[in-house]
Amino acid sequence: MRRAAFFLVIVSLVIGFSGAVAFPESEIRVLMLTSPAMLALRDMIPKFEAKYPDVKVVWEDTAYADIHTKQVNDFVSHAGRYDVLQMDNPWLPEYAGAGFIENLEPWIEKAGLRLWKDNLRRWPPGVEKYPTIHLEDLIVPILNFYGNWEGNLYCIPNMPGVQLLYYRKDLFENEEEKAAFRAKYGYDLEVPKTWEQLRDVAEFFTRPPELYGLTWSAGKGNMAVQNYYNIAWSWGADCFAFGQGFPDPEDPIRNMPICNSEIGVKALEFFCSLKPFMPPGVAAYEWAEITADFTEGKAAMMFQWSDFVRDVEDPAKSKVAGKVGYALMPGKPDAPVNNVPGIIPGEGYASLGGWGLVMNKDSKNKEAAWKFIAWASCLTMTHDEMKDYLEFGGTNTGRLSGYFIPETTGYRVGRYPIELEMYREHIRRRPAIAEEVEYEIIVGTEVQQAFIGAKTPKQALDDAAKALYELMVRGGYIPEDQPLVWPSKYVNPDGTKASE
Amino acid sequence: MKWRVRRASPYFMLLPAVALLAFIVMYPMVFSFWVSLHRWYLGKPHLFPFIGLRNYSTILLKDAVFRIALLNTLRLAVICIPVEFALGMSLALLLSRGDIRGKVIFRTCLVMPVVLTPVVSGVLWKFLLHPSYGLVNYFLSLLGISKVEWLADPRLALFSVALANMWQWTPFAFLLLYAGFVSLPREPLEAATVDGASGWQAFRFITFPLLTPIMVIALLMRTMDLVKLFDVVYVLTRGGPADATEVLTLYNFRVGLNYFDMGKAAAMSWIIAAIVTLLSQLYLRVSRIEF
Repeated sequence: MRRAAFFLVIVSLVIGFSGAVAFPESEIRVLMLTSPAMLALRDMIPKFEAKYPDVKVVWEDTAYADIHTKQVNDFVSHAGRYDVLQMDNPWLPEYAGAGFIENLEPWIEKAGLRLWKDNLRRWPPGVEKYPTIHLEDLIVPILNFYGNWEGNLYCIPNMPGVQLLYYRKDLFENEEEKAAFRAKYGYDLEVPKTWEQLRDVAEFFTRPPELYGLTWSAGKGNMAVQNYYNIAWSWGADCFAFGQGFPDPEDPIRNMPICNSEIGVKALEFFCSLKPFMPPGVAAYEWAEITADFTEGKAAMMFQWSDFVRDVEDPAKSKVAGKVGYALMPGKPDAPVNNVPGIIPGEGYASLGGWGLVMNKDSKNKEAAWKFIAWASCLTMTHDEMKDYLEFGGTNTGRLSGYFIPETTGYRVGRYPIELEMYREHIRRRPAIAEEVEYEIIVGTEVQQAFIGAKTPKQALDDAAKALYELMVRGGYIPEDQPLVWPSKYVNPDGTKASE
Repeated sequence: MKWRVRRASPYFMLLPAVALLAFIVMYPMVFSFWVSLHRWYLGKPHLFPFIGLRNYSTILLKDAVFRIALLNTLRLAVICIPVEFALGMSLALLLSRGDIRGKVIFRTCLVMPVVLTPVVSGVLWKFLLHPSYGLVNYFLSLLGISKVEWLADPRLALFSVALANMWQWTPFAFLLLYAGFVSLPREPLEAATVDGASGWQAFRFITFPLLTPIMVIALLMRTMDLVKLFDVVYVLTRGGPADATEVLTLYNFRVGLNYFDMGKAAAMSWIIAAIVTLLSQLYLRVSRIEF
């Protein structure tokens, strides 16, 4: 009898316990970029699992060099290994165009979030076909650049990024330096607003081997192409006649490369002219090495992605923590009216970087995958969770409200207002083609050829144009029987906009 | 009937191994050849048009980067193999002498680079050769030499890759040759000494011919490895600056797994396989060794 009673007690305890603790019903596997922001998010996973006890997250992160390959392999094999993937924003045409990822709008609607579309201001500029998407308080240009594919939303930003000008306040505010600069250049030392001023300031602070004016990168591919276009856009140059949006499905002439325009060549000549003011070896630098120079106090200025602020402002890692100011990219006031839609002469522009979350079409746990996407993109995070994510990850969010949290370092050091301004009016998009990775290597390699002096800027960009033409033919944007021609009806040979 | 069963039984026994081999070796090879005859871009996996040998002709006749990669690979082979071989041979000769003390320590130290994975070796050399923070430039600066851009200067980048490669693989040549030395029969050498042969004559006319098969194996393996070189270049330079250190397998990887042009990548793999086969046959013909 006693044994039976004991057994009953145990059984009822087990039943009671299992009722109190919900066992996860769905397991999702997520693939993210190895980065400080994502590692901070990984550490917050217990909070997500406490909020959604029916979902268990299996986390995987990998380096930039491998993530694209891993993702495409999973898509093509239809294995559905990953339910949620973090996607670099230029890959949207490749993923959504091939039908690899899920349209998120039905999930957004089901979750009761505010999503609406209008035709007031279309994104990306220059493409008039599809409406602009709005979602809660997400920053409209970022949301649309990252996720708007043919008018539907496929991706929600969770780690946007843009390059900023980082500068050493202690040097720029030093009275002796100011006097010496004025004596040499005839105007006051201030944070450069034009590329010409930037070159003067870079030259002024170049005192090797202790200090260089500027640290930047012309590393192969991604680094060289993005940094070159950060200059070239404000000079009025562009890569394709269709500008920063999508290729023209109707007129292949508009898909011709124009990277070797006169303005493009001049912009590349300028980029190369900055080399003497940079530390040795920048032609082979990757992003982290630029920051290493700056945090070691070896450079007066740096162009770098906004999420590196965390390293720069960390006294344990940085000799210049607390001495750094942030500014917009310089511009070129005498830039001509050009092919690039939306460019205002004198304003600076930077390539939009950053990552968003997408759902694998082959996911077997889409409900759970959506819960994670909504949470990890800050849409369903609480205020405190978002604050922790921003602070510990040193990152930012696609949500406007994230830029106004006073307790965050980004807000305190003045990074967020500059970053927000860049997102609002000063970002450009890389060509929205499925072959974007190849585009970066083609142009990046040729830019690097010019930077290291192996080719003249003209020769390098002419070669890039030929290779880009072949790429566009292979991609089906230009028919095989259409030879490479200059798209005179859209762009003059000097790169300025042709009169319509 | 019994006779038939007895005759067929070896084939039945071989069947699992043959089936496994066919599945894991033959099928991928046949499939990759089939893919190489098509245009297959993974961004549009449903399109798979047959284009015959066009991938091969594009690579061999039109692809400038492939030509650069081939040339760089050959340059690396010409720089690395003689140096690795000469150093390996010298070390093997030195350590095979009976009067060297601390042989075990030397051997252990020499084996260590081979034990490291090429990626680790690449990272190590990336730090060593860093223009501002690297040890190599630090020591050069003590001699008054200004900062050298080992990985960013196109005239030096390939040499830097060769340096990292030689550092790692010279011990491999040493190990093979050393094993050859210690396993040589002593009698011919003793007879030569009795007959009054000098040290050089004994090496030239006895040790060298006896060691030839092992030397050919060492050369063959290093050549094949160099044609397949990937990891160190990927970590050190990613083929840059520009195309200064682009090598065959790195370019093949880029075409296949960055550009996802699988047809072209498969064709390139077959061309690389043909190059390796040709080179190995050349070695065997020249050395007149049969396996």
